[in-house]
Amino acid sequence: MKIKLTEDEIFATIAAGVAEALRVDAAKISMASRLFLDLGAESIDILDIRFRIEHALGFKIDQAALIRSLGEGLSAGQIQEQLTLGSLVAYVRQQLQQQP
Amino acid sequence: MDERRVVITGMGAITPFGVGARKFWENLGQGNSGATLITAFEVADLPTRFAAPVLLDDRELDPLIENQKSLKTMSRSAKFAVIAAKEAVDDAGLETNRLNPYRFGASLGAGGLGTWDLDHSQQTLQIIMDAVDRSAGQQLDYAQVWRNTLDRLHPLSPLKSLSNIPTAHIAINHNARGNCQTITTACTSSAQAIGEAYRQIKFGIADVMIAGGSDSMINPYGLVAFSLLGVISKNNAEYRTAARPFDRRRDGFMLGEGAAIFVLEGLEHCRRRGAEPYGEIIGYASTCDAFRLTDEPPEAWGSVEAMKLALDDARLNPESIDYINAHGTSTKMNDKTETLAIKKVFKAHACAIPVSSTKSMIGHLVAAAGAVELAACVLAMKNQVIPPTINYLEPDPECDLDYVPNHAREARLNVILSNSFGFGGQNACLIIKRAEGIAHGA
Repeated sequence: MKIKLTEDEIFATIAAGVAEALRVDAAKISMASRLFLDLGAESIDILDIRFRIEHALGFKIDQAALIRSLGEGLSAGQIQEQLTLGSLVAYVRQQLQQQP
Repeated sequence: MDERRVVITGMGAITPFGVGARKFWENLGQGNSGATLITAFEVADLPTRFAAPVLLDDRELDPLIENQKSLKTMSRSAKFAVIAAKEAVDDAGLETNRLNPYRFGASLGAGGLGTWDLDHSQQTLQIIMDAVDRSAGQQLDYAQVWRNTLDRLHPLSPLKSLSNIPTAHIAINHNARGNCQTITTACTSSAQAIGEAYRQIKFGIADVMIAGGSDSMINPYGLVAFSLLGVISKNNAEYRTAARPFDRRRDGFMLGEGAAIFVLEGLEHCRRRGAEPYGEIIGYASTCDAFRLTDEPPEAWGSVEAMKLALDDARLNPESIDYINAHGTSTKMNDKTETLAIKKVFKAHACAIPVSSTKSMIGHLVAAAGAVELAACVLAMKNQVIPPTINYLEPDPECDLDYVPNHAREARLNVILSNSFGFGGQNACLIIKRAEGIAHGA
């Protein structure tokens, strides 16, 4: 079943998961927030955030596809630069739209 | 080899008496008991239904952790370790940013950790139960079990069960970049961890070490495991007094949980920064019985040699020991064999040395036992009071030393020996000495 969520609703869901996972104030999280560079995430936090989003939205996130959605052949540093709340929201939105 | 003197300048503890070394001593010095019936989980059908738990749940423990994000990778035992380490570092007045970080390490004793924490084990059981339901209760669908595990267990939960994670958290929190190690030798873990930290400083490898241990086995697995091994008391009817080391009526130990962590540093380092030490570690030795996994050799060779070697390390004769904090588990075998071992080492002097088991009050803290018992020794020395062996009523002909029965005793305590023995035939002995005036050149 296709889940119909607006971009704002997807953002709110992801931001809540990120806030909980990183123990940061949800009010400080915006679409432009970079998980590693602005919000202090480390690699294991991404697993935690992914788990929270999957359970909140009821679908599996393919981490490799998520990374590819940021751009092809990115270095670790570039991924840290690119991985924002906005990029997560865009990826999740696209995945939800593709669901049967 | 150039050897350095090693002093204890900070101490932190979380015990069945609560958070803090001060609370620990307030109760220990009074001969209080941490024994209580277990209510945190279902024990109705277990042979043992009591323990000496730390009476704080996650809601009370979690706010004590400074780095809130780290909580998701911390077992109950890790939380104890981090809380006690913070207390120890603060107590030592250690400005960790002024240390050479590569000569600053950590050495912790650790046990079973998060795999058996109540929340994790119950969640795992639920996953298995659900797999039964899906096959109409006929049989377990193992494929479903593992799929459920991947889908439903938090991805960071495996980190909670790694033994070195508490040490890693402490290293991160205090920027200890030198030798950081975790020792898992059952009930000897933390005594060995402290002893090995002492050696790091003594032999010039480190300036400062955070050392101690932590454990939390008061969970369904811990109770079942120790019941299976037949070493835990089943005396539910008399649970308040069931931990009765050296008493003829003893039937096993009471489980405890908690942590004790120390700051150890070289005496010169301590003097340079003007710190006031609690005491000096002057002796340590570790041996292995190499006999059987859980039986102690009847001649007690491993524990005898550990005590002798610790005395040699301290360059002391046996008559110098003013008090022995015994391993004293309250099992038939340990207390009898430890008594024999003490008599073999101290000979005629054995009967003149007060020997007590603080496990009578706080239970057996397993991997944390040696550290918490060293904290008891440090506090006994500071207060010049020997904590008692409580619940002692009926002498055992095979346990005939002075066990400081039931009431704390004022005494002149200059040198104290702490014994720790564990499954696997592990033995570790630590000797501490009063350090009054030592920081100023005495």
